[in-house]
Amino acid sequence: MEEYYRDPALVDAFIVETEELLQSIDQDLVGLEHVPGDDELLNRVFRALHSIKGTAGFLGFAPIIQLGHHAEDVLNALRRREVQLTQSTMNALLATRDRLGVMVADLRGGGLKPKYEIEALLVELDRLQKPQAAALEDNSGDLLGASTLAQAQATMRVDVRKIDDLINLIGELVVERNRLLQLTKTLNSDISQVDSPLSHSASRLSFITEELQAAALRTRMVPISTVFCRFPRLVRDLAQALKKETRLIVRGEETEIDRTLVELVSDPLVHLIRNALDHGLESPEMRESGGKPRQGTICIEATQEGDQILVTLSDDGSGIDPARILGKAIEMQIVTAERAASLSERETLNFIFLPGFSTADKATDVSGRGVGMDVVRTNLKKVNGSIEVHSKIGRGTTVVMHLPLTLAVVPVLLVQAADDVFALPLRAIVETDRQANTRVHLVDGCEVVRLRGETLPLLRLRSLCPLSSNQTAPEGKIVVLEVAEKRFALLVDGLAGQESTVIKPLGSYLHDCTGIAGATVSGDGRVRLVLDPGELIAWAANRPPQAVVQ
Amino acid sequence: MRSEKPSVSASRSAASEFLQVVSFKVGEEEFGIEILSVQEIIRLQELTRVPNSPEFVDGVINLRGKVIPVIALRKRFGLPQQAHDKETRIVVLETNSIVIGLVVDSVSEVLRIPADAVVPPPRLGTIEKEFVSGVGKLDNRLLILLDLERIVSVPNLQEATAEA
Repeated sequence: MEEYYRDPALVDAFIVETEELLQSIDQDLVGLEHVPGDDELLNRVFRALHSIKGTAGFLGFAPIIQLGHHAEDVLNALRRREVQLTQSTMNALLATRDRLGVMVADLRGGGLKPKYEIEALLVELDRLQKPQAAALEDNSGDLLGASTLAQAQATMRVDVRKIDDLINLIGELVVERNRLLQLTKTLNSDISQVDSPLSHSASRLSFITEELQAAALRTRMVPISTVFCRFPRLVRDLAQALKKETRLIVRGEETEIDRTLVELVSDPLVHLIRNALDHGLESPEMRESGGKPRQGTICIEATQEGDQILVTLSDDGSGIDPARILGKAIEMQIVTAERAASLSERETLNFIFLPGFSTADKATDVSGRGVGMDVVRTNLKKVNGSIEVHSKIGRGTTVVMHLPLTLAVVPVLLVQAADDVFALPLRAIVETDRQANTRVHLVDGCEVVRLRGETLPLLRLRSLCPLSSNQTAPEGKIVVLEVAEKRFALLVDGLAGQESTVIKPLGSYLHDCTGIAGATVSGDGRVRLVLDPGELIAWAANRPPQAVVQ
Repeated sequence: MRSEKPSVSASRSAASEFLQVVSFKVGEEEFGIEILSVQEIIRLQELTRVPNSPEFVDGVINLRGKVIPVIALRKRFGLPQQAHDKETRIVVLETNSIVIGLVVDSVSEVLRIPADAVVPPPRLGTIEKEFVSGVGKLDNRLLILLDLERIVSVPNLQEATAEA
């Protein structure tokens, strides 16, 4: 190989750009498969490949140039309608893209390997173009290339860490702002003046801080299409491998999510799609005999609902058979047969989220190893998200993922227990009520309350506090919390207001503290602990029954 | 902090001869921690207790917007509790990239101890030997040098939380 001097910064830029271009090629090729005559798609693929080849030529990456060149010839032939877009053409083009992806990944890992097994692919690409289709440079390609460049300059690449630093600083600013507001309030009441220049300035500062925070948070938001764009290719490849006919519908791609969520959603979705194709959708023959269209449909949809993003994946396949799940659960000794009889369908479906649970009789390459659904749920729980499954036998399965809109700012309710003030994420709160409106009952040694005809397990917040007794102040408040469709009541001494805060982790040193999700610094500079409702309920379930103070 | 870099490296190059330690008192004994681990020393501030945390963790504090855990050395050493007074300080340390505070009765001074004046830990009465990395002998007193990693480590969190 010739020795080239390559500017590392240029190589890095090439890698990033190429990865993006390859992604778009992927999407456009699969799109082209559905609409074979779409010149716009074809041109886009050509342009992207052309630009990869061009930069690779400048940097002297021989295998990339070679592969790019041959694929370009095929695309040129397609554009001139000298050849038809066949399945094998498509496969070869996708294989080219994948090879290029491997090469770029190698570049990222340090450098190209000395040799790549691309001979067979090159021969195949040559076969797919007509012999007379000489690789003439096409001017239109260059012109269009220039226009995409001009468009790209409207955005700027920024290191995520820089944005995170910015957002952290703004978080601190918000805390300090809260403190200033509180001081202003105290000061103004001391000098019995409400309309002082100080309060004007403080409220103006408060407004600007909020705007600043919102603007900074928006910089972290990316359209969910960055996640979804991989799926058409995934579904296509899987459907081919599994010999199923599938149509993928994607909706709400423009919905924006926090950048840090992208990777977190991506893997679970890939897993769910694999599941849907492997276990959900039936073979075309089975579908036909069942009176369904041969082609199965998978639909991915993202919507925003309040401060949550819902990502829904549905298929019109065979659905999940609760009886089979129950059978498996009994076989795995997760439940007893008697208990199983009293479970609702929803509770039954929830078994699929248990570690090691799989109803697949044999593991395939695609899925069925019993790892997955529990990982999906654990990953979502980490970011305060949740997941639920609905299914109808013969009609299909729908999985809904609930994700927080942003990870940075969380609205919380402040609750008191003795002298301690804790914060509860507002998201988990269903309602609050005075304790006087309910009565505490004892069922099997566990305290429960009845609220509007619903019986809820009761947890006393004071029992979590190390130094306080379980005796609650007479006028306590009940906070009803819901986690993953389980409700419970938390008895607190009082409510102490509402805040929007930045939740900070307690750090590796204290991460094991059950029931605590993190800490926030409140307006007065004090540290407040944020309760983790999910862990609270688990903790309440596992603690030994204790003497109840009446 | 950045501007002090040269002096820090200077103290490190001299480490073969001298050990720079921050000395403080807990109970009757005087302890020392190598100065390079000490980030700052602050007055006691309001602590937020953390449920289900190890018993010797006093709580967390707000250190300029960062939430850091604070260990009560008295509790860690199994000494009787004492009310905090105006001498009480929190020594903020950074060890293994964990920032953590230690509540001590009082902070005395920064000392330079000749390296050859440090001996391995002898048998000790009240303080468990496991926390001691060595003993510095000065003219007329003994300085117990602490092994930070051991103090900060949570030997058996499960047990600690079960008892709490």
